[in-house]
Amino acid sequence: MIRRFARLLIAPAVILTAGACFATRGDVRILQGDIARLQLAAAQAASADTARALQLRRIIQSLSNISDTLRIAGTTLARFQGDVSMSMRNVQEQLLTVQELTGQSRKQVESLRAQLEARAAEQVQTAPPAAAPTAAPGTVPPTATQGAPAPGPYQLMDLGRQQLARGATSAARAAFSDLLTQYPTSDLAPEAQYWIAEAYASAGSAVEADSVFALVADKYPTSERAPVAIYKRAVALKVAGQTRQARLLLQQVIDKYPKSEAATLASALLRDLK
Amino acid sequence: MPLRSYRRLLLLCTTLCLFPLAGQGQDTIPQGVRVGLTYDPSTRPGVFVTAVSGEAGDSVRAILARDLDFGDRLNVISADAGPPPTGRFNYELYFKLGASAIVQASVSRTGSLHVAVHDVTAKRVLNVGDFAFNGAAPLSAGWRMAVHRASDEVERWITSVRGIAATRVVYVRDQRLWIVDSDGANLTPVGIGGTALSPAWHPTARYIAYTAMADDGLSVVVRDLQTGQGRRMPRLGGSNFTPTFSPDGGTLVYSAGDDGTDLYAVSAFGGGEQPRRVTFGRGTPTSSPTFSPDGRKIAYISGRPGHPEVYITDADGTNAELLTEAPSGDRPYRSDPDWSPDGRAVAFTSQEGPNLQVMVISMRDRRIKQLTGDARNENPSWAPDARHVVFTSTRSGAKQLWVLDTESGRTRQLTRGAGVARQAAWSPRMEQP
Repeated sequence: MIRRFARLLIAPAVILTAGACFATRGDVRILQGDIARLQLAAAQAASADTARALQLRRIIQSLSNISDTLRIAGTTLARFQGDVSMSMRNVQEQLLTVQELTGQSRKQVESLRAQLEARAAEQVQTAPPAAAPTAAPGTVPPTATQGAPAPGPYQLMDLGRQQLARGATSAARAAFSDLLTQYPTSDLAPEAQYWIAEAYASAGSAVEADSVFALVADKYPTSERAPVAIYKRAVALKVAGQTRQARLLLQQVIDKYPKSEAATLASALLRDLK
Repeated sequence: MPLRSYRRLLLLCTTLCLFPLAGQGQDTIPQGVRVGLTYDPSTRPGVFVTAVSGEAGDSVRAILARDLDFGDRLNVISADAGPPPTGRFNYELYFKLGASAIVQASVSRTGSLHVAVHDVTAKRVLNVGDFAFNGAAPLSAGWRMAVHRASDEVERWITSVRGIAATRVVYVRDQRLWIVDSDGANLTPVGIGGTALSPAWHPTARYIAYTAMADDGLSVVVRDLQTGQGRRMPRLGGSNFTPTFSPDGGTLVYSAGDDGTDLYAVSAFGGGEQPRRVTFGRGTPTSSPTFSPDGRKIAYISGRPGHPEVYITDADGTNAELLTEAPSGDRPYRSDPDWSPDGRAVAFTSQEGPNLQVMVISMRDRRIKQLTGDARNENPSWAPDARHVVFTSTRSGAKQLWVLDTESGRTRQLTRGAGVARQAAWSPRMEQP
């Protein structure tokens, strides 16, 4: 009977030893209960068979050692879990920092590109007339007859944002419109369209702003400006008291762009409108 | 010239303790010279405040002269006022003193302050006004505020820009809120039981919002300064702090959260609307909001870049972007943004070496300008004229409030006394009650 009992205990002990890394406090408690029961059985057997009692005591000793090992492993695991949690938080923070820095770098790159475009334009403007013969036969060098060369897309975007910051909404719209006209396939086209809408909104032209925001969402549905544009329309409708239409647009942001920040904003605003 | 005129000129010269005058004997303004009240912002027209007749007239004159001086747009000519003037002014004499304008005031028996401003060049009265004391006893808080209102109007008549004398500053001293007039007088405790921090004015100057520290944590309270009633704002989970009112006064935005905070907008006086989240710090601290004067944008502090920086966002939560771009690898500490009332700049605190300094960033070109350099300077708050800033400084030893004229760089100490004075908020103009 004792042999069977010992076999029964050895099996879980081996499993627990092998899986010590995954042991929990519950496992340790169970093992300690088993040891207590085994000690009771050993005490009963001691009176009947000394040799078996000795064997049982050895098994108990062995299990006690396993229990201690498991307890230490459990503590180590808890510490490890804490460390992992802290590391994860640090990683998240670093990720956020990297995202922010990426955003900043992107802006700096855009600004640099605008500066490069401006510098290139200056060089073309100040180039000596001797450069003219290099033009292909039959073509007219742009600087010779057309005056200053056209600014690049980044330059126009920079100009538009500067004008908008100054409150010169018409000049800002003109710069963004030029960007769209001259560089319709530029990566900055959705941005330009979006900022035209913002310029209208800044000037208090709500109807025009709404139509251009709608255009951003329709024309550039995969742009990161699309959910923001729809959200902006919804906010304007809410302010105008058209809550039913506002709710529809907010739901559209949540459904079409669930992972965007605009969707989180839309959810909060939708809760308020219900 | 008649003998009478000569005698009058001689009398004025004596009473005003005149210093030697250039061109003595010449009592007319040279041809072709224009020094009138065409106000050039780069110059400070001279102004002479005459003696004031009536009850506490000497105090009225002192307050008027000090207010005009603190406004930093006028050069107050210091000379013995002599007796209150009667009869016709000898404008030529004041012109020789360097005055472009004369401020003549009198306390009437009906309980108001009558003020006349004379244009010295045009030799005529430029404007007049009456400012009611509303029964306030001489030198009381209400009485002083009436004189401050007169000063502000005088400044407006002369420079077309209203002064900032009739304003107050709320601040924290030893975890309690205090309010002081813009000239440093009339220091009054705000009778709040517990610890209070980060006060902010309502656009009407009737209410202040602040962070209250209680047993259950930080919460935001709006207090009516007229009735003394306080109202705790909805608790949004975790700590609630650094409130600010929207320019229309209808919305309060403050920071809320536990492990990382975000900004939430709530109705300032209850309207059933749910709190609306404005920022997404993603577990990082976000605090200290300040509205642009048109209410369309909010500047705030976020730890998203790994260290505190100033961000701006549209008030609806979109278009969040970093405002104070630090050079790569630089990890400074930036905090306490305050949007100027004209919308052109945001003042903030920046860590510069071992010290904190007050900076300002232009909203037009994002250029940053350092406003302070001596000692440790922090917590800037704009005056309603978008020209003066109140801030905390250790330049006199302990932390005290100082006022800086951002145009001229001139500073003056606002608070004195024991304890640490900090987190000042400059009020809007105190309109007639």
